[in-house]
Amino acid sequence: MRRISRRTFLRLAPSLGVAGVHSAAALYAVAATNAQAQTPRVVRIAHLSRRQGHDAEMASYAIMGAQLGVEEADITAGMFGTKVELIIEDAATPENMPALVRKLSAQEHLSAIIAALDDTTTASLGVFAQQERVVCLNTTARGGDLRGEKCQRSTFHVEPDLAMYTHAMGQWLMQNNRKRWYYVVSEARFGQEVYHRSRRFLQHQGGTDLGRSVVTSGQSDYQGVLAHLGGVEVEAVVVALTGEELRQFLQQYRAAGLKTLLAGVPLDMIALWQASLESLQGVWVASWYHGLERFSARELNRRFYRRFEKPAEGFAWANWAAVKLVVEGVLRSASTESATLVNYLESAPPFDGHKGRSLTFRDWNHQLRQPLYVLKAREDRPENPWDRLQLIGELPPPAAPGRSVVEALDTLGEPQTESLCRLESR
Amino acid sequence: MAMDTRVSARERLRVGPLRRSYVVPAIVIALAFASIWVGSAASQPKAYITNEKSNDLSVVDTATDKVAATVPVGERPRGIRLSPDGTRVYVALGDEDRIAVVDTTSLQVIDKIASGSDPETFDISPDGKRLFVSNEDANTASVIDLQTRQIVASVPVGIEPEGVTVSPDGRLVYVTGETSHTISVIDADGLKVLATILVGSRPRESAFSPDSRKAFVTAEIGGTVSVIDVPGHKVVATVTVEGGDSKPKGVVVTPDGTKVLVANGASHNVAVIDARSHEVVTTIPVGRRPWGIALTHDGKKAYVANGVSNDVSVIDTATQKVIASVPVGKMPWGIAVSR
Repeated sequence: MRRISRRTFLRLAPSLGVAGVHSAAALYAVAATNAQAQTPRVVRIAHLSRRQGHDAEMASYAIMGAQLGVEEADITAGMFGTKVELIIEDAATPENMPALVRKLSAQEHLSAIIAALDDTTTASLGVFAQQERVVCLNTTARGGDLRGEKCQRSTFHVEPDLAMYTHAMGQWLMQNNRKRWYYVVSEARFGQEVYHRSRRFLQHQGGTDLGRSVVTSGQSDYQGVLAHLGGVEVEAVVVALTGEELRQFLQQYRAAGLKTLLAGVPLDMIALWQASLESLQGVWVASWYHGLERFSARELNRRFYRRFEKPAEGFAWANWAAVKLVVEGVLRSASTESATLVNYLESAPPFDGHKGRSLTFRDWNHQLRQPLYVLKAREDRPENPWDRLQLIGELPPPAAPGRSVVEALDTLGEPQTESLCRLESR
Repeated sequence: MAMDTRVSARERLRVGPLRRSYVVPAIVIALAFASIWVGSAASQPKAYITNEKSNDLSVVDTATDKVAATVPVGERPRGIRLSPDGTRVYVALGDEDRIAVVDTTSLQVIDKIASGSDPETFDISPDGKRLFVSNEDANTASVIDLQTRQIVASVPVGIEPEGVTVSPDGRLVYVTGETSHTISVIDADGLKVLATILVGSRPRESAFSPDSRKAFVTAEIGGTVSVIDVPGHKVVATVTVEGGDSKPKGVVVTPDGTKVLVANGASHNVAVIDARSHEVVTTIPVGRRPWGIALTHDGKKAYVANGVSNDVSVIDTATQKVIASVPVGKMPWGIAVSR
């Protein structure tokens, strides 16, 4: 099996007779075609999720996305004599993770594990995947620590982190001249992370922090928060809640008749579609939207709907993208070896996620750079929950001619200078 | 022309007998002038531009670089090609699943041919007998016999096929697969895929050198142009355009084979690449979101469709400067230039 490292390519570039080549990614484009005759016969991808409990719906969309990704990747790989297989394990827990990873890593031709799991289980998987030298792609967990102090060299994050969601919403609010924020956030870790990142962003932008309300688990009465909001001049209420707390808050906010804009980070699209967020209002940030039409997003949305008779949302998109990233890596590097795939993904190959920009992994924390979308809850509240939102913004705005796409996308998320991630050396 | 004759015949029925003696010489004179105009018009190459949002075709006189006519063609016109004899313009109508056929003399749509679903671009065999059409949502290329107007083959290609180009020698057809990042190489006679070539991310269009030995493929997300050794079916070089952020789309090779011109949709310019050294030698600023690009037959001028600024930039290829900007319809997309 042929293994091609990025360094090897950089060293060989002159002898390949490549002129006008300016990036490692372009080198891989050349390399891939040179290696086409030796592409592996089988690419196996394992998919881990948990179809029980409150993650069941998320797992369901993640698996649909991965399935579409495999079906499409199998067509592409088939042109080069390669078959793509998906191994679905839908009962992953932190407890069974060591045995699961060992079992999977023993699979011949296993190229990667795709994780559609919560933050805790993803962190556990990352540790064992690193030990077993298996590439792991995180498609659902958003915590900053996974990209920070808990980062792993063999783990790549397709799902945007909370910092990216927070910054996208912050950019949109600033663009719309809303600079006085109040926060209603969960006491849970994600709520606190959104609060701290959001507050820091606001400080950098010169906005005004008007305080916060911390929502405890199981809280059902929001009258105190609402009374407070009625008495201050707030231009946006940043909301970071989930589940029943979010549903209750939205319901009581609507009933109170408050008009201050709610700015939600991030949107739980599946909950909206399940009609448990019938009082949704304000603006929300998401990584994908089934109403996207530009840059071939329309074609991808159509393919997903034709296949599953459901619209695609962010988790489905991330899992489709993860499969595509792995298979492209195998085809272009002509290897199923984990080390080769890690090198390939770190070389920042321009990935087409149907978002109209070249998406690449940050080399300092392995987070996929990507634009996010701001969606507004429609005032007329259509009966079909699929129609409840409208697209009002894409953040960050596309780079101006002559400006770097990477620089623009790096305005979302933690900058390298602040990252706590220390990747294991090569 | 047949349509013009019918109109004249109807008009003649309305003319009273007393006036016929004056009318007949007048018609003769008018026809003489008309034939002079038609002859003159026919002798001047025209640039035909599809306007995706206004559903029409702008016809630009390349002698004056002014719009000579606007022709309604149908829903969502994008891909465009001229027949080898220059008598027909074919236009892909994405929302009609058909190819419109426009008579270049009367500037009327004289036919619409079923093309398979969602046609975006296509090309014509050098003998003018076949159309090769990409069907974006079906992952196929349809082959249409222009005499029978029937689809004679449907060739499986890459995912989201788009750019279709027949090699100048007529032997091969390149079809880009935007999502699979591939070129499907089709044998134009056997109608089978001979090879699949992995190129840059989201390949859009391709262009062959005049001797059909090299091909150049733009990759929009990759920001590259892949240089393909055509007989060997392999990429021999990859040119990164403007740091990879330029979104290259349309591509043409000059008739002498020395230069490759690439329309960069995001950086609003045209890159000129040396076809031998594969280096970008210059970039020429044009309108906003240039996509379609075509050269005059002598290679002296390039026409570039700017989708956002709704105009066409005209480039003098010798001085490498824009010499005119021609307002056209809404969201100009593709261009073809007659001989």
